[in-house]
Amino acid sequence: MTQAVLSVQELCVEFPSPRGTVRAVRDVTFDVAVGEIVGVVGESGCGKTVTALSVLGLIPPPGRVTSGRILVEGRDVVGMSPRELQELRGSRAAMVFQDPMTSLNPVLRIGTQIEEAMLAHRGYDRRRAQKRTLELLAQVEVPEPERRASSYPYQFSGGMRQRVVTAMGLANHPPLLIADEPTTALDVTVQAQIMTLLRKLNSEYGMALLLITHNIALVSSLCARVLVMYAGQIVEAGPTREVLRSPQHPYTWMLMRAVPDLDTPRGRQLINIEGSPPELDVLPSGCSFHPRCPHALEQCRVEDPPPAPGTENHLARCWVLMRNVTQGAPGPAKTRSLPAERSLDESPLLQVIEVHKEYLVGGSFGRARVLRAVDGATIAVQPGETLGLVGESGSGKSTLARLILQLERPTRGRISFQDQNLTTMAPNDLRRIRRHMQIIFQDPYASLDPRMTVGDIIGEPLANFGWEQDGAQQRIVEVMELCGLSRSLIDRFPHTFSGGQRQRIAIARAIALNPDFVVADEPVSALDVSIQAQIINLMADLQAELSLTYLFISHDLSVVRHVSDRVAVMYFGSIIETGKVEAVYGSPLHPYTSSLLSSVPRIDPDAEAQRLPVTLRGEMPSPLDPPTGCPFHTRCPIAQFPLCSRERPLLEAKRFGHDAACHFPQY
Amino acid sequence: MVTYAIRRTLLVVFGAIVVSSAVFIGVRQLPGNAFLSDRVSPSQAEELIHYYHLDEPWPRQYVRWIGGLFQGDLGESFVYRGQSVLTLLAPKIRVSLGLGAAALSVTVVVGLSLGLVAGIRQNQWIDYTASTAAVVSYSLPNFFIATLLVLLTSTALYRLTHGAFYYEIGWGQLSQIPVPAIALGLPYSGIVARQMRAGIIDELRQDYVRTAWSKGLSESAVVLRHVMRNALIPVVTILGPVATTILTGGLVVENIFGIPGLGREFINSILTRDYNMTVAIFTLYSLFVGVVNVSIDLLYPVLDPKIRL
Amino acid sequence: MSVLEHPAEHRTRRRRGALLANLRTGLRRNWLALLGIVIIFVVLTAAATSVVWTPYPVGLQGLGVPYAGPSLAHPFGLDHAGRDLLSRVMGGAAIAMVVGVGTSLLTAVVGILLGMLAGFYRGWVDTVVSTIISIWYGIPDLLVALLFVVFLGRGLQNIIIAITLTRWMEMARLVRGQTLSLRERDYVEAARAAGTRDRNLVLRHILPNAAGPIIVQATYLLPQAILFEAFLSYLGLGVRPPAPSWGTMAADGFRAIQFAPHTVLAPAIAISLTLLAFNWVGDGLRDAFDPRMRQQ
Repeated sequence: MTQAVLSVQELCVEFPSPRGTVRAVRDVTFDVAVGEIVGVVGESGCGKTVTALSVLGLIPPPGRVTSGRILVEGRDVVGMSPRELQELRGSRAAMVFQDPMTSLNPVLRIGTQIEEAMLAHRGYDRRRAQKRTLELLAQVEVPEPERRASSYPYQFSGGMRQRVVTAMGLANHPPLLIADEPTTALDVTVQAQIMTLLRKLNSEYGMALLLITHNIALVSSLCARVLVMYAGQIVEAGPTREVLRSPQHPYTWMLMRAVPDLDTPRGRQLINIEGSPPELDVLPSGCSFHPRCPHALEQCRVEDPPPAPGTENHLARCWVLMRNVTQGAPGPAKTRSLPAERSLDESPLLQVIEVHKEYLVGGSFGRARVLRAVDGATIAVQPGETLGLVGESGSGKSTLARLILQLERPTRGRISFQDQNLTTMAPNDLRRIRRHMQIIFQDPYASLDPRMTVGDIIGEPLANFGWEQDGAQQRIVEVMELCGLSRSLIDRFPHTFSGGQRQRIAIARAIALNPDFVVADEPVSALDVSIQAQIINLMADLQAELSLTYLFISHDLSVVRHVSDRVAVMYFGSIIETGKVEAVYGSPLHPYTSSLLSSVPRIDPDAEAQRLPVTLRGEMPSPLDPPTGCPFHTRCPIAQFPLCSRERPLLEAKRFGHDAACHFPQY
Repeated sequence: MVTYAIRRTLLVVFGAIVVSSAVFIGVRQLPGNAFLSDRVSPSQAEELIHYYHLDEPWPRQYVRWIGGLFQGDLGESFVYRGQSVLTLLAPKIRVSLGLGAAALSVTVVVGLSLGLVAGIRQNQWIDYTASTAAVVSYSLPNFFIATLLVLLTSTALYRLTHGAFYYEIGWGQLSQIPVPAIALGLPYSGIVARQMRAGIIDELRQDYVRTAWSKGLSESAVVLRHVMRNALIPVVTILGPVATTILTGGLVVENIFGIPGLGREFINSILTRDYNMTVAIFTLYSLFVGVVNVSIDLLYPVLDPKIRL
Repeated sequence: MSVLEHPAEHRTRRRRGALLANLRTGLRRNWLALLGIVIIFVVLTAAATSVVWTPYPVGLQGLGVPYAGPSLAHPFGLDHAGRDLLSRVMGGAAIAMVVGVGTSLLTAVVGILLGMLAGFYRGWVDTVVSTIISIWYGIPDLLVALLFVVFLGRGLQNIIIAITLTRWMEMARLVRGQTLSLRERDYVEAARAAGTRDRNLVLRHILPNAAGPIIVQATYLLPQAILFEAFLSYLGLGVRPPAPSWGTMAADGFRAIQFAPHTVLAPAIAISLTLLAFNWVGDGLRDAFDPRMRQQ
C-alpha cells in the first residue's frame, strides 16, 4: 500500500476554557492518499478547521492535541519541535485560508510574500525565488505577473488574492495542500474559476488536496472522497458518489435535504433540522446527534456508535443507518403551495424606475471621482409575491435595497410605493410610510443593538409609532411566538443567542408593525446550512399568514430559486434580466444569467458531472471606471462589436413576462 | 504627498499665527509693564513705552506686529533693550531642540523595545514586568523623576565612585545630555511602550500572521518583517501628541537641570513682563510643535502603502 | 473565521445590563485594577474627610520644629513652616480629586458634544470641527495653560478650565471616531428603518454603545489632570498657597530633599500612587470593555 501523504489517527484536540474543556476534535481518523482530493464537510463548530490546523501544528493556544497521531509523509506532527514544524510548514504541507482579504499582509508586496515562502526553506537565493514567483503567478493565472508581483494586496480583488495565496502555498511543491473554505468569501463565478484552478493543480502536479467546506455541492464537484463532521467527530465517510447518493447517517441525509439545489423541485419544502449543534463543552450522552435525530433509539442516547462499515469504505457512525429506515423519510417532503398565478395587470406594490446612485470618492480637492453604485435599475414588485434579486458582490443589490427603503436618497430616478412617490416625499410623511416597509439585514450579529433587550429591540418600532405600553407588550409577545421564540426570552440580551435565533429576533422586529413589504438583504447568508432551512421556512410561513410581500436579495442562486416567484438579475448596478423563476432559471436570456447558472455546483454527482460551466473572462469592472455601452461586454462570451461596446441595451420584454437587457438574447 | 505636506505646513503657520495673535492681544490687556523697576525713572519709562509703541491702541500694535512677523522680525526685547528677540533666542532654540530630540530618541527607543518584548511574550512574567514599569513611568510626575536623577547622579554617584564621576548640571558638554534627556523622555516611553504592546498583540492575532506561520517562517521573521510595520501604525498616531508634550515638558526639566533653553526663557519673560519675548517664544513653540506633528504624519504612507496622501 | 464558532444557544444567565456584567468579569481578572480601586477609595475618603476634619488644621503653622521627621503625633512629619504633613496631604487629596473629576467631566461634556455633532452630521459640520481640532492639536499645551492661568488668575476653577482647554481634542476625536463608525452599524440602520428619529438614534443607540471607550478615556484623564496641576504648582502657578496642593508641597519639599526627604516624599508618593491607581483602573476598564475579551 502506498504510504498516504496524510494519515490522521484517532486525533483528539481539546481547548481548556473557564466553562469547562471544549472537545473540539474527537477520535478523528482518515487518510489522504497521494494525489487524492478529499473533502471535509460540516457546519461551523464541527471541528473541521481545527483538524486542518492541527496538521500544520497551528492550533491556537490554549488548544492542544491530547491524543492521536498525525502523520505527514510518515512523520508524526504531534510532538514535533518548533524547528521541525517550521521545516514542515510550507514545504511538505501548505495551507490556504478562507478570507483572502485578511490572509495577506497589507503592507508587504505580493512578490515579497511569495518569495519568502521559498526563502524560508530550501536555500533558494533571492534571484531564483523571484523568478519562481513569476512562474507561480502565471500558473495560478494572474495576468501580468511582473507588474503584479510588486503590487500590494489592496490592489487586488478577492479572487486574485486567493490565487496569490494559492501560489504561496504551491511555492515549494508540497505534496499536500489544505484549503479551508477557499471559496466561501468569493462570488459564484470566481468560485468556479478557483475550483477549476485547484482541479488543474491537482491533476498536473499530483498534489493532494484536503478541502474543507460547508458547501456539499462543492465537494460533489471536486472530491473523490468526503468526510462529514459533526460535533467534533466524523459521522460519515466514503467515496463522494456513494455518500451523496445514499447517505447513511441521518445528519448527512437531512443536511442534503435542507439545502436548496438548482435541481430539486421547487415546491418541495426544505427539511428543518430542529435545534442546533451542541456546545462542545457540554456534549450530549451517547451519539452527539441524537437530540436532533428523528430516528433516535434508546441505544443512541446511551452509547456512542463506532464507525459502522458499509460498502466500499463507506462508514457511518450510527446505530440506525438510513438503509435500515423502513418508514418513509421524516415527514414526506411537504410540498409548499406555490402562489396562484397573479395577473401582471395588478398595480405593483413597489416600483423602482431608472434609479441611479452615485458617490463621490477621493476626498481631496479636485480628485473626486464618481462611483456608480446603482446605474439605472428598474424593477417592480407585485403585492403578495416574493421577488428575488440575485447578483454578485459589487452588483449594487444592497445599495438598491437601501435606496428602496430610503435609508439613502437616489441621485436620480423614481421609487414609488403603493403609488406614492418616495423620492419627493417630505421627511415626516416618509417616516409614516416606514411602518409599511421594513428590512431584515444579513448579519444577525450586527443588526441587533447589543445594549438592548429583545423586548426593547422588537418594541422600538412600536414605540416609534405611538403604541401604548400594554398593547405593545402584547404585540411583542405575539410576534415573538410567531417567530418561534419563547416569551421567556424577552429580557435577554442579543449576545446570549445563536445566529439563527438572532435572525428570528430581527424578523420579529420587522413584522412587529405588520408591514406590507419586507426587504430581506441576504437574510440567510450568514447562517449555518441547517439553520438556513429553518429561517427560510419561517419566512415562507409568515408570508402566508401575514400576506407579506418580499424582496429577497441574495447571491445564492439556489436559495433564490427556492423562495421566489419572480426573479431579477443584477449586474454592475443595473437589472439585466427579470421574469418568472422557471423562465429565468430554465431558459435564461442574458448571457450573464446563463453563465451564472452554469457556475453553480450541484449536489447530485451525476448532474454535477454533466455541468458545463461557461467561464467568464476577468472580473467585474471597477465602478469607478465603467465600460462603455453594455456593462457586461468586457466579459461576455457572445459579445459582438461594435454594437455591444457602443450602445447600452435597454431592459425590454423579449418574451411575455420575461425581460432582458441584451442585444443578442439567447432564445 | 508633497501637496499634502505643503498644505499641512500652511495650516500650521496659520494656526501658529492665530494662536500667537490671541496671546499678543491677551498680553496687551494686562496691567503693568516691563519698566516698573527702581532702575528706570518715570520719564525714562515713558520714553521706553513710546519707543515700544505700547502707548498706541492695541489694534495698531497688532498690525505692526503682524507686519513685522512676515518680515521675520519678532521685535525687540523689553528687558534686553536694543536686542532683537530672534538673536537672543537663537542659541536657546538650539538647546531646546537638542534636548527635545534627545528625549524623543529615548522615548522611542525605550518605548518600542519595551513594548515589543511585552507584546510577543504576552502574559508571561516579562510582560508583567515591562507593562508595570511602563505604567509606573508615566504615573510619576517628570519633575519627580528629574529631581531623583539629579540627586542620583550628582551626589550619590559622586560619593560611590569617590569623586571619580562628577555630574555637573547645565548644558554644553556631551556628557550633560543623557540625564536630562532620560528625565524628559522616560515617562513618555511608557505610553509608547503600551501602545506598541497593544499593537503587537492585535497584529499577532491577525489572519496574515497565521499565513506567515503556515509558510514555515521563523518567529523573528514573523515578528520583525510582518508584525512590526503593522503594529507601528497606531504607535505613530500617538507619537504626535507625545512629541508635543515632550517639547513643552522641556520647560520643567530645563528648570531643574539649569538648562538655558526656551522653556526657562518663557517663564522668565512672563515674570519680567517682557511680553515681546513671551509672544515670540510662544510663536516659535507653536511652529515647532506643528512642524513635528506634520513630519510624524508623513510617516504614515511610509508604513502603510494603502494610505496615499 | 474564529476557530471556535459554536452558537451560544442555551446561556441561561440573566443579566441586568451587559455593561455591568462585563465590568465585573473584566475587573475580577485584573487584580491591578482592583488594587487601584482600593487606593482610589482611600484617597477619596481622605479627600472627603478633609473637608470636615483633619488631624490638625491644614494651615496651622508652628506645630513643632520645622522639618521635623515622622513621629507618633505627626505620622508624616512637619513641613518647612511647621505644618502637619498628613493633614496637608489629605487636603491635597481633596484638591487633586476636584481638579481631576472636574476636568474629566468638563472635557467629557465638551468632547462628547463636539464629537457627536461632527460624527453624526458629517459634512461641513465635521469639516469645521475637525479643522479646529487639528489646529488646536498644534498648540503647545503647557504654554496655553500657563498663559491662561497667568492672565485669568489662579484658582481651582481656572485651572480646571485651563487643563480642559488642552485636553478636549482627544476626547472629541475619540467620540467622533466612535460616532462615525457606530452610525454605519446595521442596528442603527434598522432603527432608522423602523422610524426612529435622529435624536433618539444618537441617545439610545450611539451613545450607549460608545460609552465604553468614553468612560475609559475619561478615567485616563483624571491622572493627566492631576499631573498637570502638579506641574503648574511646581512652577508656582497652581492654587494659591497656603492651599495644600500636592504639587506645591513637592516643589517646597525639593529644597529640603537632602536633609528632610519626608517633606517631598509624602506628596510625591501621594501623587504617584493616585496616578498609578487611576491608570490601573483605566487599564482594567479598557480590558473589560474590549469586545474581544468578552468573547472568551
